[in-house]
Amino acid sequence: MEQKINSNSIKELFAQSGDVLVRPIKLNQTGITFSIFCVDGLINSDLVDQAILQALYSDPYLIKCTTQRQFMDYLLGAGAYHVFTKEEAEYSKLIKYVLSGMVAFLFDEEEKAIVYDIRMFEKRSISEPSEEAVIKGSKDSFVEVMRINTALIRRRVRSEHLVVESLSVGKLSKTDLSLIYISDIANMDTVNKIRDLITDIDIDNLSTPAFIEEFLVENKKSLFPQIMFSQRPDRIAANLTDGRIALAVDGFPFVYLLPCQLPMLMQSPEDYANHFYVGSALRMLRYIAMVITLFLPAFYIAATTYQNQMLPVQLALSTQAAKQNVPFSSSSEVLGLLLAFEILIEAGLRLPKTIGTAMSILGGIVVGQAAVSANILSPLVVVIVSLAGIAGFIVPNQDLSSGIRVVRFILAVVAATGGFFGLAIGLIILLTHLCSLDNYGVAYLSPFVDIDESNHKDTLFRFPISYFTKRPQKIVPKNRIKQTNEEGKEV
Amino acid sequence: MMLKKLIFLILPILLCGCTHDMNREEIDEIDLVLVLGIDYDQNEFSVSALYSTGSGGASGAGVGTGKEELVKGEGKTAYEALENLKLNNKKNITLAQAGSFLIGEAAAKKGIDQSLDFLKRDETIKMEALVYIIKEKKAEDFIKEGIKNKQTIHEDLKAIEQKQLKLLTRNDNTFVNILNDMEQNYSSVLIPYLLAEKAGFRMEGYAVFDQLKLVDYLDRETSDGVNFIRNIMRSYPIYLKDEVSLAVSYTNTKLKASVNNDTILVTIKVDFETMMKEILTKENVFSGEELLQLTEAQNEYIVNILNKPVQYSLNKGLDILNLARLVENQNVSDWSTIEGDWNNRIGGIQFKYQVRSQITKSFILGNK
Repeated sequence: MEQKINSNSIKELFAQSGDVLVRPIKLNQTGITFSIFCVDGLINSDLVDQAILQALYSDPYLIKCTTQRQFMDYLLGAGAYHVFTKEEAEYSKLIKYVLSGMVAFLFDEEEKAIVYDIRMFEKRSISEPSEEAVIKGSKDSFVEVMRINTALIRRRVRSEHLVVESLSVGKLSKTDLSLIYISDIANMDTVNKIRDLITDIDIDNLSTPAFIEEFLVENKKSLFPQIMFSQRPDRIAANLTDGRIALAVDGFPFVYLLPCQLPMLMQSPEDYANHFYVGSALRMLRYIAMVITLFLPAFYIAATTYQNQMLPVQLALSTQAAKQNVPFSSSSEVLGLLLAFEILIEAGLRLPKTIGTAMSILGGIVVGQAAVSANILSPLVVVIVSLAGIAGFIVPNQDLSSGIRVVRFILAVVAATGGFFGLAIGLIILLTHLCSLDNYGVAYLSPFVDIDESNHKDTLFRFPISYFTKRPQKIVPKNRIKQTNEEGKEV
Repeated sequence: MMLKKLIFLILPILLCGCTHDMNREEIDEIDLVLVLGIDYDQNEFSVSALYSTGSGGASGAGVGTGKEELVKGEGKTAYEALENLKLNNKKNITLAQAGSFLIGEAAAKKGIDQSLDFLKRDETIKMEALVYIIKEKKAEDFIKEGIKNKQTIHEDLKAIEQKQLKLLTRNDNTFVNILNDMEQNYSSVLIPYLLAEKAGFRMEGYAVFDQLKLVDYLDRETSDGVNFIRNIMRSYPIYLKDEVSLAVSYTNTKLKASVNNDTILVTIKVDFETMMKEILTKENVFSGEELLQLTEAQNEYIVNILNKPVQYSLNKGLDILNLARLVENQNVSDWSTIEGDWNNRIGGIQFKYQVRSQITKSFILGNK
């Protein structure tokens, strides 16, 4: 049996919490007593004071209220105006509301409360996305407040079918989540599945992204991201209209997208802001960069350690000349430098920006140059690893980029063990793994592996927008038509 | 799940097993052979490998790709010579980067099959490496002479390859092509021969093999005729007597073989286009009549060129034009009767030429 609402019991519950206020108030006109229950710092106390309490003290009508019930009815009716006003009788819900920043008036005799949503806490203003900046495109990005994020999405999708479902995760944190989808486009089976997965999450606190991501991905062991995030409301809106499902989490300055496929992670909003030839060229560049970052170090190891015939004569000769006095094997050089590169990245991330830049120069240029001059490293290895590193940064999605960095290491080790033969085996395993990934019924490599050719128009190449007539079949089984052709017919 | 575990268990074993025979050698720990010479002298084969020492290498050579050094091995067979060469050399060697195989005249006369057999069984050999015959010399002396003349031999050979490609649409003397040609029992193998000169190397024409043994060298014009008939000619200069020079800019050769009452008739049909390159006469060569005369003259010129390898083939009874395969392919039913007697029939083959050409205008600076 659930506990009844009572100011004394609540006071006792939060007796050791200095920020939780339970303050009794007596109205002089009527002698009615009630308690204010709120968390200091989460509410707009000015609004409580001026718009509600002050107004009540000077309200002549209150004299007619002789019981708490009458007073409650008065408040709910016209006594205190507010958009979100709710009578609450459930103890657990009341606690949840107040801890999320609402203010409650407790009425002990009625064992009920009236809740006002006058949340106000310090928040970051909407700024330019740091990870997905574009030259030609909108400059707003999500912030840590979920409600602002859902508003940013709704500003872009004004459809009455846009659903923003409220959910909560975390036994202690009680973090708010919003499951966002367009009801007449999204696959409801997927929506239900995601909702079930979220409601089944049984953790104390949703403090970092991994706490939700790992519960939503199907293959947890894979290095490749199966859930996409974006800081850009326009990107989320575009994917919602494509039938995907978004998930906004309070406290995260980004929104998740599901189901997620590899080609999605290689796309950038810039692709659609430019001419389709330019967009396609940029996209091709990214795929080439992905191949370079994955395979170049491994290729170098295999070619210089096992199958030197893969190198053109002049390159073989200059590689040989460059390596003459270096004491380490090619594989040690490459793996060591890759490791040093990762250390530099990590150190650069943790340090303040100003020191980080100086450290990058020191580490990258000074130490690199000194290592080459001291014959510790061959210049070609520095070029190879730098090229692979820089190419890795072209990959637009950070999660994918991180995954690729790990796979790059594995392939380099495999190449050091078995040359091109090992590399070929590594590639086969990698492709097999990617083909085996499935994301809410959609293949991870979709639409590359799709038979339906209408899905292929936004993969390696970005076709003109007029070609995007259908939504991806695997994601949206019904209501696939996005636009009609010039004659007004469905394509 | 069990299958996955099994795969992950088997994979390292498979990897180790398969890499067992693989040579794990750092690129700086081996000598990259760039040119390989094969000779035969006093009943022994010798193999000479030219490699670059690299910067600051074992020999302490200078910066850059280093200087070229020659190492030699001898043995009863070419393979034995190679193995002895490996023993003689300080570092391990690899033939994977060898871009040219030079066969000395004596070795070529002994038989190219004996010279090249050990190479075709080496999986690291580049299939597109070029094979040359060294005329009247040992390959070793040829290389030594180059080193003495301070030539960068592998680069000079590369330059010859590039020059060849300027004149021909493809190089037919690649290792894989020569191996394929060696499989043709009825036709002669043709391999370009090199001459050493003070200024560098020069490729003159083809060395002719009969039963895989060197028998003769073709002069330049006969070799050009072979190239025309093989349809690999890209560019060719024509010098006409009436002070006009032209250059072939396009050529297409088609061969047709027919067998009629035991007579083999080969029709050589050549279409080509030329461009005026030099006009030293004061007559107007662009008039219709003059152009017609020039066209006829250039047709005659090309027929003469074509006739040289044909006459050589007829006189020597050697199938240097690879006609056996042509006759076989175009006359499958008759081939069975011809096949056994092919060598005797080569001298009786009848040839017919159909040459058509066109002269196109070329770019002119100034008023004329």
